[in-house]
Amino acid sequence: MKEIEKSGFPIVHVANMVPVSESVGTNKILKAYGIPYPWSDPKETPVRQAEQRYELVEKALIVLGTDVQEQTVFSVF
Amino acid sequence: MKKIIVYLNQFFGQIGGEEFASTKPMLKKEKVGVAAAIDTQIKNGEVEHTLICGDDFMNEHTEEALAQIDSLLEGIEFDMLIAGPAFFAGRYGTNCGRICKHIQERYQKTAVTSMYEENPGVELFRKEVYILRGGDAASAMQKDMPKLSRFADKILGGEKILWAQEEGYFPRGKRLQVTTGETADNRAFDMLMRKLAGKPFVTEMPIKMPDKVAVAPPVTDPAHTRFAFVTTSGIVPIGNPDKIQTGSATRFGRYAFPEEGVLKEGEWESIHGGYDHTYANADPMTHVPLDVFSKMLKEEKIGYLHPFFYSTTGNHTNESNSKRMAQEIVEYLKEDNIQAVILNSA
Amino acid sequence: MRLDVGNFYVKDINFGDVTQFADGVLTVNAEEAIAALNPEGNLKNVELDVARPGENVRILPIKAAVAPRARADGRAAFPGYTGDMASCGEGELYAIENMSVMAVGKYGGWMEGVVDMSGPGQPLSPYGNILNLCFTAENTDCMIDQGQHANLHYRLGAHLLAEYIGKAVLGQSPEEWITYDTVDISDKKLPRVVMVQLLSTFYDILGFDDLFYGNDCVQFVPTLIHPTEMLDGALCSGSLIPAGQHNSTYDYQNHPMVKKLLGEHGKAIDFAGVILTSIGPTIERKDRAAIRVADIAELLDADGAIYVQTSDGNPDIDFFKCIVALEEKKIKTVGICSESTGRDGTTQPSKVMLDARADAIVSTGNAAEVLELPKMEKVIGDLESIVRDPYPGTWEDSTQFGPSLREDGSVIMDAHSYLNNDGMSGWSDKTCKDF
Repeated sequence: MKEIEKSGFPIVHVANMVPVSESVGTNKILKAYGIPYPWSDPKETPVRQAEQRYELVEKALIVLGTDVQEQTVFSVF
Repeated sequence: MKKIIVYLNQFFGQIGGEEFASTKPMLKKEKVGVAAAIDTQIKNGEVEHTLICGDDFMNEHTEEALAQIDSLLEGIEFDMLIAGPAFFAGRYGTNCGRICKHIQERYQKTAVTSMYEENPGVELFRKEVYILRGGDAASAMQKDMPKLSRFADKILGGEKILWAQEEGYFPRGKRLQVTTGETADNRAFDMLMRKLAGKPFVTEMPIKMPDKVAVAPPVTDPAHTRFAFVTTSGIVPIGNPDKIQTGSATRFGRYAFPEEGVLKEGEWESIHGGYDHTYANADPMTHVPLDVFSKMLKEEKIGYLHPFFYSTTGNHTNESNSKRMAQEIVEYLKEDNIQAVILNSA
Repeated sequence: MRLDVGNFYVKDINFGDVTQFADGVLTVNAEEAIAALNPEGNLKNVELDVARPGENVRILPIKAAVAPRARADGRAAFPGYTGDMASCGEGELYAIENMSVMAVGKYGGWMEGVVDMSGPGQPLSPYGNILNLCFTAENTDCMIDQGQHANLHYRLGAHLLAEYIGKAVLGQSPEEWITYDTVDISDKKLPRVVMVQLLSTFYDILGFDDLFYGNDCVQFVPTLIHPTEMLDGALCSGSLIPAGQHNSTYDYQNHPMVKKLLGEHGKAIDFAGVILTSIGPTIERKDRAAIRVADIAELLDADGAIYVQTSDGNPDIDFFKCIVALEEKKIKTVGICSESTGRDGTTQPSKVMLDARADAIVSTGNAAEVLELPKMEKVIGDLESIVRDPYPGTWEDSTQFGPSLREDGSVIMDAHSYLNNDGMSGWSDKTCKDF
């Protein structure tokens, strides 16, 4: 994460284990649904899951577009 | 008897003060100043030579100085080099670090030194060289020199070198397992009793919080931005053809996104050892949301998607392998003029 | 709750016509034992063997390790699992000490482990210094061997066998009786201490997590138990955590930290109880566990706590969250965990996250320590599994170390796959230091 950002790439870390990312020092963190299922919640129907994935990727784009001064955690839920 | 060279700057080498800081290196077949004292304190070796160099010369013409030193050392037999102690003298400490590192690399002999915690030489060289903790002024000589000599003696005598705190050197960046005489249940109980009683106790795992990276500029126009996707969820083609490890990964896979724009069940699997694979195997897009990227490309919400995704596992992956893999991935991304990255973990 | 444990110390194990224990020697009728551990034929090719301390023997892949126990009152040794549900932690428990019963399979993987009975591996975990009665077997339905291993039949087999063996000492007089009890000592005003045990619980599907009175700990919420319940068969091990950090049922039954705290009850502390907690697969569940543990500890008026971890990786988050939650309630806490300093000691940090508020930690060693183990004359189990199967601690080949299994039969691996190397329940005499 940090290595990729050091090379100049804007990057967002989508992860459920936010404290890990925080502890590592990642700048932009976006909360994911779960460890075994980051982009969607398997308890939902496949249609709803596809929607969740879309929403989360959309949010990831917004996070990438957001200017932050320090480590920030974002969430859609 | 093992042979030792002691490295000193112009002052401790008894050449002169600051005005002699440009002195070029010289090798004297005698024990000058501090070198003589060190000699009396070491049992397993003998100081045969004193290597003296002006702090400015070594600092400003390092390569030349080391080259000259190499000529001086031609044909000279020695088993170890001891440099300093350098206390808080920044140029001297850095030069001690330099000469020790050089000796180790070029001659494969151990070289040790001593200086104060805030001497810049510590941060620069403590990973490669044993640097003993020293005082902040020459008045600490009576304490620092015997410590340095005793430590050098241990090495010369082939004794086992214990951990940093025990031996008095600055930690060199390794944390190793050690067997103590006591089991964890007793250690935990004793530590708790001390903590409850308000008595001082020593944690076995001191914690230092890590440092930050500057934020890359925000992506203001995703519709005209080139994106790439990386995952540490360990999603790979069925059969794991690149044999990505379930943990402690040392390599990543580079997989082409299928033309259909979706990842199908049965064609991909998770090999990450740290979570239940049921969901990933049933729907790999819960880790790699290709359907969304495809849709967004059609909707022109994102400008471009790098045609490969990079996949490895994130459990027990160590820092150096992670950094290296990241650097390798960055090369691919640069080649394709990627401008932003989305990365997910399990 | 008072538990009296009658200990029998076994000196050797042989096979014979009758299963019995006499003069320190356990004789086992192999046929009967096999029938007892495999009542429904879910395992095939079942064979028994014995590994003794000091022998030139390697055992792998180990899927379960259980201490033989029996109750004189007819209650199952593992209520809810090997027999009807019943309370644990009170009454008389017969125990055969100095041995374990091990289930050894054919296929290794994420949680299976290795034990050497001699050489540099021997002192790494308790198993090198006790007699291990092993059964080797394969799953009758070989499809179960694919993917992640729940090892249901192996695990149940080990517990059934442990119970069968335990019964051999019923009716005899133990060499010693040890009483574990936590009488009311509130008048002594000693500091109240709780122990928190992180269970191997993480999955959302049945079959992998630890069993609590036979109940799969899936979606577990922190629960308070009396310490003697853990010693008396309430907790049975799952199939989840890498061997090096794994608490087998044997570890729960003989839990050193629990025994230590019980021993100090009334002397230096008032041992208030054991709180079992879980590894959450989401932050919400981790928060729920941490908050519940701290709330239960507060309910018990705890002054201090000892948090015993299992595993590493994302459970490091549970470790820190829980300790911080306790400290925020002014409960002084010591955490016990192992570290991952890597195969060369340079992995930093050695936990997946850090929080400086955890200021009292006992480190039980390096979870990724590289082990060089010599060839062993005899192998109980499947040596080839070392390079064939996905153990976290072995590799097919490596530029630095070569293959984990060498042609001469010697092994180079890391401690993740050495059974209970990390000894977080209190066994470990190892720690980590900065070099």
